[in-house]
Amino acid sequence: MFYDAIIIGGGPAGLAAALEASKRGLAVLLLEREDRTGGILKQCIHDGFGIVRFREKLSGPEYAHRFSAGLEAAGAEVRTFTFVSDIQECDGGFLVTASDASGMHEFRGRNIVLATGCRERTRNQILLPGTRPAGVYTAGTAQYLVNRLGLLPGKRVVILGSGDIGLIMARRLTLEGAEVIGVYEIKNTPSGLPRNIAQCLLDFNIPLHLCSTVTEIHGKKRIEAVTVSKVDAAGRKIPGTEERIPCDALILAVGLIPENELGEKLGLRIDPKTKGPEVDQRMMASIPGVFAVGNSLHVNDLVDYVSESAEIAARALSREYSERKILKIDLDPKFMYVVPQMLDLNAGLDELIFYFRSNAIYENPRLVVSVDGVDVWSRKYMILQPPLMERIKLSFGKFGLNENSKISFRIEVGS
Amino acid sequence: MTELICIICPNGCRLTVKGNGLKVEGAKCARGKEFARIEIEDPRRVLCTTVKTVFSTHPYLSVRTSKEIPKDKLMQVMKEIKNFRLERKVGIGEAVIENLLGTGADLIATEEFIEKEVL
Ligand SMILES: Cc1cc2nc3c(=O)[nH]c(=O)nc-3n(C[C@H](O)[C@H](O)[C@H](O)COP(=O)(O)OP(=O)(O)OC[C@H]3O[C@@H](n4cnc5c(N)ncnc54)[C@H](O)[C@@H]3O)c2cc1C
Ligand code: SF4
Repeated sequence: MFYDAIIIGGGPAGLAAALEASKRGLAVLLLEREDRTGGILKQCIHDGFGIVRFREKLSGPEYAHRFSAGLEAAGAEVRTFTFVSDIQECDGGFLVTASDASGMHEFRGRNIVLATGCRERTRNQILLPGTRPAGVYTAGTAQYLVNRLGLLPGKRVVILGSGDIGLIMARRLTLEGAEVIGVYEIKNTPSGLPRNIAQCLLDFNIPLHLCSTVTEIHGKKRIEAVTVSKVDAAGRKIPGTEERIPCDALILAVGLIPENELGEKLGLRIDPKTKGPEVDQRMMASIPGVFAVGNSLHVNDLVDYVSESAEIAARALSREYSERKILKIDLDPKFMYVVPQMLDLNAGLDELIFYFRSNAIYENPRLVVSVDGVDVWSRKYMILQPPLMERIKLSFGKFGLNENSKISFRIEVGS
Repeated sequence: MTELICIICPNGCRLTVKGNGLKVEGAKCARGKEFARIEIEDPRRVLCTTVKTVFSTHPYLSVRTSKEIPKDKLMQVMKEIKNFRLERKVGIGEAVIENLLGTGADLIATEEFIEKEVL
C-alpha cells in the first residue's frame, strides 16, 4: 500500500489533516503513539476550545471529538499505540518506520504531515538551582495527574511561570482543594492570555508576582520550600529580596517547544525563532512533500488555528508538485515570528493565511506589508503582545512577484 | 468605576464599567458589554472538572456544567461532585447529574468512555 499521505500524530492537528485529506478522496494513514487520538486535548478538560471555529466554548475532549468522530467514516486508516521512530526519503515518497505491540512496521507514502505537537520546557532548560527532590512537576504532567489519574500533586503549591497551562492548573488545583500560594513570573508581563489571568487567578484570589522567580529549591526527598526573589530588568536576581516559601509541590509552566526530532533527522530547515520547520504558504517544509502543522510548526495558543493550519496543508496535498520558486519574507525585529516564512511563487498566492507574534507589547501599532518598497496593505491594532498570536489573510497574486521581489512585514509604532 | 477583563473570547478586552454597569468602555464588541453587565450583577462561570467512575479502564471522566452557574457556588458544587461516583456509562454530552445543586445546570460528560483496556 502506498498512501497519499502519512500523518504523524493524532492530536487536533493530525485529526484535522486526516479528516480533510480523506474527505478529498486521498488514501490517508494516521499514526498515533498513545491509546487514543486527541493529543494533549485529552487532558485539557477546561472549556474555551473552539471559540473561533464553532463559536462555542468546548472542553478539549469535546473539541477533539468533533474531528475524530467522523474520521474512519471518511475513510482514514487510524493506528494507535504506534510510535514513529524514523522517516526517510524513498523512491516516489517517504518511508516511515514505526513500532507497535506486534513489532516494527514500515509504511510508504507520497506525503508526510508532521503533527507531533510540542513538549514542555523542563527544569534543566531553565537552569533551576537547588536540590532535586520529588514534587517538582511540569504543568502538563500535573494536568495529566489531576485530570486523568485523579491525583493531587500537592496541597501547598507554587507555580513558576505564567503560561496558560500554569494558569489553568492554578484554578484546577484550587478547585480540587489545594492551596495555590502564588504564580511567579520572571518577566514584567504575564505570558498567558488575559482571560486566563482573569478567570483562573483573579476569580480565586491567587496572587501573580511579576519580575519574580524561584531561585532555589529546598528539601531532600520531597520538596519542602522554595526561595523566590525579585529580578531586575535583565532577569538577574536582586540581593536581599529572597523569601522562603514552604510548599509541597512546585509546578513549572515555563513554555513549550515544538517537537521536531523526526523533521530534524530528515533534514528539514528549522526556523530558530519558532523552533519548528520553515514552511511556505501550504505549510510545506524545505523538503517537498513534507508538511508541518499545529504545534510542531509553531506553538499556538488557540487550537482553532491548529486545526486551520492542518487543513491548509491537507488541501495542498497532491501526488505531484511542480518545481518550487521560493521567495523568503523579510521581517523587522519587532516580530517574534511570522509563519509561513516563505512563499512558493509557483503555488497559489491569494487568500494566504499568516500567523504572527510581536516580540514585545506595542500599543496602537500598525502592521504594514510592502512589496518592492511599496506599502500594499496595513492594519491598525489596539495592542500587539507576545501571548496573543495574530492571524491575517493576504493576497499577493496581483503583484506579479518573481524571485527578485522583496516582501517585507513591519510593525510601526508611535504615529 | 470597576475594571474587568472580558473572558468571552481570546481578545480579553479590558473593560471599565461606570455607574452600575450602564456605561461600558473598552469592549470591541457587543458581547463584551453584555458580559460586563452580568459580571457586575451576578457573575457566573462554567465549571469543568472530572467525576470518579467505577470503571477501571476509565477511572475519571471529564465533565462540565451545561451552562454557567453562580461563581460563588463553584466550591460548593465541587464538593457535591467529589462525593459522587458514576456507575453507568454515558455518552459525550449526556447528563451525569441533573440540576446540579438546584442551579438549573446539568453536569454533562465531555468525553467518550474508553472501551478497550489500556496496555
Ligand atoms: C501540556 C500541554 C497543555 C496544553 N494545554 C492547553 C490548553 O489548556 N489550552 C489550549 O488552547 N492549548 C493548550 N495546549 C496547547 C495545545 O497543545 C494545542 O492547542 C493543541 O493541542 C496542539 O495540537 P497538536 O495536534 O499540534 O499537538 P498535540 O495535541 O500535542 O498532539 C500531538 C500528537 O502527536 C503524537 N505524537 C508525537 N510524536 C509522535 C511519534 N513519534 N509517533 C506517533 N505519535 C506521535 C502525540 O502522542 C500526540 O497525540 C497545551 C499544550 C501542552 C503541551
Ligand atoms: S469584548 Fe468582544 S472582542 Fe473583546 S474579549 Fe469580549 S467578546 Fe471578545
